[in-house]
Amino acid sequence: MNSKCVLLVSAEPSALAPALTPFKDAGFAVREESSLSAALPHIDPAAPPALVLLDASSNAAGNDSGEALREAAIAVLSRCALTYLAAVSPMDPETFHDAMEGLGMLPPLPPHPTKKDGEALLESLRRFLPA
Amino acid sequence: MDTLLAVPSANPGGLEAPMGMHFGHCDIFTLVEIENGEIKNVSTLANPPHAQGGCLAPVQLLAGKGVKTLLAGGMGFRPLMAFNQVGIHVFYAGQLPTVGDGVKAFLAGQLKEFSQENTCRGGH
Repeated sequence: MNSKCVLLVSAEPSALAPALTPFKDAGFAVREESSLSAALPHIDPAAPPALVLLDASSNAAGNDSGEALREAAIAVLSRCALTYLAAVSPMDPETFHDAMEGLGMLPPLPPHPTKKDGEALLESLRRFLPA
Repeated sequence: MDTLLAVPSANPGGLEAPMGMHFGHCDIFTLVEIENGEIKNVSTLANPPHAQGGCLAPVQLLAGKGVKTLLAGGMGFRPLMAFNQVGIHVFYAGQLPTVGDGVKAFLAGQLKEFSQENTCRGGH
């Protein structure tokens, strides 16, 4: 695993910039792709990014529905299940957890996430990354 | 047939223990060393506490112990993909009550590969 790389899949990456600041401050490289089809070739199963962040608030993962996000997550995991996955989603955390059952996703970021939201996501990810 | 088999179990683990029906939330893993198609040794391994997004932890734990085969009654799409991708074969044994029953059925060739249809939400 490339433990210092985040792959962001978003049509509007600038809206997520505040949440990615903590990752950049911690030394993570952030690669941005505007669609899932453009992002998938950059997930190398031999050295996957530490985190793939799917933006379900901006149509990049299909649309805003849970099923579209679920399909996007399955596409990523089918390529490499050893990367960690998170999403930007308008769903509340409990609804999100139920909708994404079995996919092992980290707690979601809200639309227009803040730096504090990004810090919480980084903290969640760090629990699982090698020291 | 030689393999190191892991079976999600209820406490205290071992061949007499009930199977743990969801691998990520099981109490403990029973590890069964199979040599020439026979049980050579049985031991147990604690399952790390489950946290949201952390279902790779038991995959990595079992892979690190040299496990090559897993019997399971239930798991999500992600851990199934991860097991497949690290070379651990997963068989469906959800219909069997105890670890020992699962191991016997495996040795008799009666178990089917765990498919996406067996996962939570069937992978879809």
